[in-house]
Amino acid sequence: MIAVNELTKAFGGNKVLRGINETIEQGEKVVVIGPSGSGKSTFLRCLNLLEKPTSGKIIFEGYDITDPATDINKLRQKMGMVFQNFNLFPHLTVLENITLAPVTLELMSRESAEKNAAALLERIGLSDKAGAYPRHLSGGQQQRIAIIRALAMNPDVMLFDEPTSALDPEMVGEVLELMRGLANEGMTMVVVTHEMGFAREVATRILFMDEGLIKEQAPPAEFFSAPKNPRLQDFLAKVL
Amino acid sequence: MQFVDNFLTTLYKTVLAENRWRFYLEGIGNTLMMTVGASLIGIVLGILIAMIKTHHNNSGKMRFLNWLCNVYTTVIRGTPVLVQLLIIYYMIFSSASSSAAPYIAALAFGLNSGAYVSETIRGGIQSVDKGQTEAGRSLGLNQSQTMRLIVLPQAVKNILPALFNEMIMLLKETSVAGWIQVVDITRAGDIVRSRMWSFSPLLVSAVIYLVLVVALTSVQRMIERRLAASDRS
Amino acid sequence: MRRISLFIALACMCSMALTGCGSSGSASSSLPTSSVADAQAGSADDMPDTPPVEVSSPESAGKLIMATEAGFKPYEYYEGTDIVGVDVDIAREIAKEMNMELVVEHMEFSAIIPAVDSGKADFGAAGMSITEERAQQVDFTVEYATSKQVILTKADSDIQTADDLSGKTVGVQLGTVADLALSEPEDFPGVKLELYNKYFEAVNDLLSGRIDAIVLDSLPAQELSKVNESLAIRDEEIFTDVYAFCVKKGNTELLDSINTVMQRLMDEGKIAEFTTNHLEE
Repeated sequence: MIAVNELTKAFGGNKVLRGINETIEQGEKVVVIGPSGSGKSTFLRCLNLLEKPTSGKIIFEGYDITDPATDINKLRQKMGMVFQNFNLFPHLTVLENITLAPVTLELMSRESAEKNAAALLERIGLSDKAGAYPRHLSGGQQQRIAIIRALAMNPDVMLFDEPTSALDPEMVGEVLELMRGLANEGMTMVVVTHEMGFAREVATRILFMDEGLIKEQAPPAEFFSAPKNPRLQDFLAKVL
Repeated sequence: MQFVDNFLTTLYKTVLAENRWRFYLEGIGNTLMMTVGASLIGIVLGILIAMIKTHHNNSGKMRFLNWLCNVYTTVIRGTPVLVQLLIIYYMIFSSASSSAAPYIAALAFGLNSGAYVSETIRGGIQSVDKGQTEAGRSLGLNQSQTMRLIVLPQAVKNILPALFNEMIMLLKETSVAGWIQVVDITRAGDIVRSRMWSFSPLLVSAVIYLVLVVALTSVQRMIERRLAASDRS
Repeated sequence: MRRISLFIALACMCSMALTGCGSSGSASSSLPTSSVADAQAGSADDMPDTPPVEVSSPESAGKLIMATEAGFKPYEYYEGTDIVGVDVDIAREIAKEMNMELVVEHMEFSAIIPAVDSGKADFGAAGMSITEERAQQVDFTVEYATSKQVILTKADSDIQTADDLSGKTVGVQLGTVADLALSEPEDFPGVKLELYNKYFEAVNDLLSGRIDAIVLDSLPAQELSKVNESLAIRDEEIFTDVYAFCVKKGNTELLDSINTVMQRLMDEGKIAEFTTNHLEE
């Protein structure tokens, strides 16, 4: 579904990505871990062109998103993104947050968008919050709503940028549970996270990034029990 | 008692005699119309300029429009509003009838205000967290939809106090409209003064301005308090 | 270096301002009612036996300040940077007679009476008509000229009489008798009045069509129509009035001095001479 070819990204003189080659197939749950500064967030943000690659190609469902002629807005409708800081729209209610994009982009009528939103809210047990404003909700609630806001667009892939890093520990669980549910339903996911437990349970493949490159990757069992790259061994020793 | 007597007589002569209060009423009407009109024009213009400059900053496009905006703001900020008013009324709208003068003045003040307000709005847009734009774009909304539906509403809320301040400043700035014979509050005082040959009408004008500014300021404070409260709750 | 030159410039400006104050003579001679200054110096609260300070200029005993609105040819108008005119000529004679230096100050017409009243000026001379209301604020001298109020329009205008002004936009100078007269809706129904500070603004608007007519004194109207050939004066006289100078109420000394000179000038036919001079130029 996503093919990344020789992706590099430099911010000024700082080379953050030094040549990534990777393919992500439908149904995969790819988890990306690594030390800070390794470029994992940048890599993720390149996938929906929130960051413009310095060089290299990214093909999404057959379209080269790095080509300026491509209609990136249309393609982004098929990619859902979840941010560390939720980024809910504070001036809109929860319901409006979820229905804004589908209605504005004329993908659904207002009624069907609201019905869809209601169903999604029901799924996470927050139906009574439909008319509330984001600032009235806890972090965990906000992030779960951010996730279903992205889901309301019926994306083909969901990108998660450290979705639980800004949450109080007691709320991390409810978000991971939602993500687990999505994974079980077959959603293609790319997740940047520090949550090793989640990675072990949900990932089909784990990538270890360091210094702008993918240094090792493996399915979870092998990844955690038999790391080969010395940097990865180091990293795991510290975090596990 | 003599003092009070004098005061009341003067007050009577200034305001009530020969229906002189009618001048003040006309003055208040024109001043308020110009203030509100100029504020609205200024905000619309300010948003336009702010968007062009922000877009150019982000994407490098719209070079000509951006240059045009810069020339415009430089000229407006570099000349007194009175001179701008005179040029607009006597040179640009030279054939307009004199009864259009208050509206032309409102336009002139609005064009002036826009140049300053654009900076405020640009700051307001800048102050909206980048993550908001990223979230909007990630959902597939394009630049203008994201700006219109997500960024601008939040920016306006941030800069509402500054916009109110600008309106209060405009209220006082319109006092030069008398130069093109618009009967605003100041000119009303002038006209009564010319019939009375004392300066007390000017005091009446000053008091009217004061009352209006204090009223507007307290409305502004009320709005600020409401916004702060809703943010906290 | 730049700081020093700024400091020098400021120092120069300050010293110029100070010398300007100095050469205007003592505080007492710059008092408005200068002919009364001697009496006042006697009752000054500080040193009672200090005589009034001598002024710098040997020929004059002080300044005589005339308030006027210099946009009213032939009575007062700018020639280059100087204010000249019939009223200025008369004032010069008065100053000569009183052995004082004439200072002519230009201001808005409606500011003249307040200036005389407050003492900013010694007398007002501005082609000003005697009216009852004005006479309550100031004391008028003898009349030295009569004038009629006429209608000035574009030559091709269909306005001929005062009745034709109904429904039209008419310009007047703020505070003049024309202003006060046309502000009476019973006498001039349906007239939309535009109040100007300066006549040249009114003329501009008349030429551009913003207003339909100006009502003003006949001699200035003549001067304006001479300069702007597309303007014409209508035949009708709206009303007549008489001019006088004005002084602060109760200033009988100055009033008498001015009246003496005025009477003499009128008897000698000088005022008519002045008027012709300024009309011819």
